[in-house]
Amino acid sequence: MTELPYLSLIIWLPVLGAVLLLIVKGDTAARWVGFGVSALVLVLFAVCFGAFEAHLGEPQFVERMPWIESLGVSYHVGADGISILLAGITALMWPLALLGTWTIVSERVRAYQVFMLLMETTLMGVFFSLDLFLFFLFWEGMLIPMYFLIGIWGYENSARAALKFFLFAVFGSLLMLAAVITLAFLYHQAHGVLTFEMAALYQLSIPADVQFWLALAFIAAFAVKVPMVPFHTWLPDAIVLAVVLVKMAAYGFIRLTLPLFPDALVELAPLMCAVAAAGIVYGALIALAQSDIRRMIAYSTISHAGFVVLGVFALNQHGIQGAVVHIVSLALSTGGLFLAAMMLVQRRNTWDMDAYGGLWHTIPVFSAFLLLFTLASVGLPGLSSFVGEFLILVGVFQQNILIAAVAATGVILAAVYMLRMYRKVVFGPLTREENKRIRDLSFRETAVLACMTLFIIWIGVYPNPFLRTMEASVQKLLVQTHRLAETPPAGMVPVSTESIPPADPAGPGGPSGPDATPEISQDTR
Amino acid sequence: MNSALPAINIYAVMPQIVLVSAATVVLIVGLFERFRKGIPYLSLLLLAVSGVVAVNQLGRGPVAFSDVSPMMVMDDFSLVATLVFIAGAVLTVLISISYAEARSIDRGEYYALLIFAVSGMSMMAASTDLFTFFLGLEVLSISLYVLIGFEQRDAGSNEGALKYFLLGAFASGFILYGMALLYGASGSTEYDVIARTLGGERSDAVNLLLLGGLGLLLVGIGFKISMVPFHAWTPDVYQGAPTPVAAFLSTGSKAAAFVVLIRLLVSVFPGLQMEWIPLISVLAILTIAVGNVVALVQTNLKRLLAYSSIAHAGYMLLPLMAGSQDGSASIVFYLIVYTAMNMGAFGVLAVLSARGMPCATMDDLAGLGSRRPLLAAILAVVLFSLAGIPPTAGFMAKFYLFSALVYGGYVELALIGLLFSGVSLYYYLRVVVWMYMRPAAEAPAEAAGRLSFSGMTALCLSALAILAVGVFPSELLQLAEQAVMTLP
Repeated sequence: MTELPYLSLIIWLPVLGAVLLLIVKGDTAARWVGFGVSALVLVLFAVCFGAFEAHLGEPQFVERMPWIESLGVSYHVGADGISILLAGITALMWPLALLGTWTIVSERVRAYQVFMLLMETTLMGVFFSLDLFLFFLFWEGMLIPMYFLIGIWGYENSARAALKFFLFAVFGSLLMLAAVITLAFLYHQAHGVLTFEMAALYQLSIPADVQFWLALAFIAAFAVKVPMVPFHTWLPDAIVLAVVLVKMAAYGFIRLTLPLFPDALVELAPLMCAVAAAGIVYGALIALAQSDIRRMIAYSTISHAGFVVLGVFALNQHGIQGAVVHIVSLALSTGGLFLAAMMLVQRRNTWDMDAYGGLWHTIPVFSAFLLLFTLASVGLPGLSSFVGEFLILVGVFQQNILIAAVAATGVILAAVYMLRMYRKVVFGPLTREENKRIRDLSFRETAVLACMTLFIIWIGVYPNPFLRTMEASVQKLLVQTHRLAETPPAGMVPVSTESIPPADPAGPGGPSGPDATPEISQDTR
Repeated sequence: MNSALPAINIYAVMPQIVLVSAATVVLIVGLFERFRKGIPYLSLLLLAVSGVVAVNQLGRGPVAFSDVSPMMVMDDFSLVATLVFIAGAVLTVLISISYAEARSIDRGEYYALLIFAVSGMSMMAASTDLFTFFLGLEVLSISLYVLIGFEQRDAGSNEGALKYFLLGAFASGFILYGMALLYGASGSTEYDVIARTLGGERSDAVNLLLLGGLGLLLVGIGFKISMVPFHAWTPDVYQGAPTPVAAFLSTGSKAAAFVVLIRLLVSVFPGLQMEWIPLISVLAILTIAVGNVVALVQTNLKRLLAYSSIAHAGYMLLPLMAGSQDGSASIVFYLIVYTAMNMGAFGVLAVLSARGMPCATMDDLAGLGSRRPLLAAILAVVLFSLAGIPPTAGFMAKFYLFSALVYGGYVELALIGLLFSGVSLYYYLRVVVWMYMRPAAEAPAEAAGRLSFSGMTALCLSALAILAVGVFPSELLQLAEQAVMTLP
């Protein structure tokens, strides 16, 4: 289809950049290399995205070559509608994040850029791998850059946090590794061929009880990283990467847990939904009690991650599409929120909400952006999170009304803790002297945040391009997931155009969704 | 045919002959004070020659030393093992150069003994008879006793040597006694005859002798590979020995014992599988558990590496249970990777201490990431590899090993092993934490001098090999598979 190995370029270009970084001298040069390479990846990705044919549902841009033949491992990459969206948000966020932290990271700049680029490689690798072994390699390899990023450039107690994170993650991954090996073994027993091809492994029929344990092992690996309650305790210390992890782990659920273990899901899915719903409320309640902005964002991420998992395990078109959109929007809204908060903290050097107040008067541009990210996190119609949360709730509603009701309270609580934070930081009288002298955003910072805002509004107002991109792939996934389930699944109808809720007329600019159906929009009220 | 003088095939023991001659040459040249500086390089050259000789013979099929009573065989298995030993010795020589100078132990005997040890290990790998096995073992052990105590002025070194000698002598005694029992059962010390005795009808008494013999051999070999409960010497000896010798001890001598163990268990004693499989699985798990758990609380780096090496011995014991070619190949592969990893880890310590920088405990590594970026990066690569995180060779080795185990039907053992390897991350990463995330307590008054070139060469080689094999393991995997192909 294409002549260039686009996906390989996207995956490996950052590694080249990292090697280049070892040669360049000086912090500024290093920053430019890091930003330049990630921007180049974004351009490549844009070309790729342009050529992507959404209606196919099959992996595209496939590259495949033998790699470790004696172990049945091949280098096999490809992108389908789900992976290309998640890879896309990664490609977009990376240059923005590097640009956004241009001056925030002032120590060991070169190493920072190296690890960021390496992490981009592993993330892209996770999204594009079609070979389970390759997937695991990237999945596990990611821990190294993450470990250093948390440990060296994290905030207080970072070394401890990094270690804690690493141990949590590795125990999950090791269970998954055992399951991966077992899967390959089972396939070898059944078909006499040793392979780690995901497509081949999907076809494997495994006894239900074995499936159950294997599924648990995979879930352990992903649940730690999502992070789901009760495996979340590393997160508040290592928030820097939370958004990235949610993305990966949810992708793991979608790509592996669902299609590999359909029988086990009959038992596990309701359980996962219940835990996810509990996590939503739990995260939100704890976020409510924080006065530290960073910890509040961390717990809100736990709460939002609950939504994502809930959507995935609703096991229907609405749920999964909603989950993917929600991941994308989380990256933008929570990522934006955190980036904005970091910019603020760079100026004032404290994460304590109570140390601020009245910022509206001194730094209006910043306050406006913060407002937008806050509202996006709350799930204001017309902004990105609303679409995801709405679809997820619709999906869950078809499965279990009670869980949907519990989860919906998370949206309300989100409004409470988010607006409380915003009120404390931005409104109120300007009492502190140091807040009066604070600088507003620079052009660079404004550009970064504006870019994110653009996408937040785009997804919020007109999500159809995104939904359509993954529609065929999600359908294929669901066919796979429900191949053995007895009851015909609910909600198998495609959901791209007709069920999108109308954007709030008062929302910032743009037409409301033209095809919105009235009865669904009533649910939202 | 002349019955008095059986036809022998000198060709079959060529690698060993070259190694022994090399050691002798080094020993003689070492007598002349004026060549002192050149000895290490001469050793490197001669080791390289022996390596070339071994590589030349690869893939030519097994050649027995003698048709009547084979004694030793040159097959791909022994050749690959010999190559691993030689590679380990080359790295040891490279990291020894500056270390030995700094401690004034740079004498000819040091390098000669090292090469003698390699020849002994090579003999062990090639042995198809208990006698040649024992001969090789003793050549290796005696060289090691001296090498460990080579720092005569250092109490730790002497203590280590004495400990290793006493326990090693015991281990040799066990092995001899086991040999006697096996001889009593089968009437021969040849592996083939013993295997045939096992295969045929056997009375209870013979069975008991065979079991006892195997058990005693396992005790002796277990000592060499520091298998629990014969591991107690390991931390003390590693701590006391000159660092390059500890590196050699933890890789080469352990690898040699493993090679013998594979040959014995896979091709001689499969008949007693029902008996040794439960025993080895329990001991392997215990070894992994003790190694990993005790390592958690170590602050001395050499002791930490000692316990880590105990744990790794435990992993390598596991695939023996699978009894498959895959299993044996995975051990060979692991041994190769493990040699590179441990050489790297001990090498960093050796290079640092050669420059007079203290590196006994974790505190001494604080801030190494900014003081010595390259060295810290190498140590980080090595530690991640020991922990089994991709894209390092350590991950591939672990993956292959645990796959072989699962394919052999031992999912539970694999799971236990994997979980303990998760525990190991804690102590490996703690070292990384100290290097990168703790500032040095006070600026250590270190010699600002350059690190030794030869040492850094060895370290860079190890680190590059670890990364290269981590990404492109195919060739090495094939080599490991080829190596075990000739084993029955």
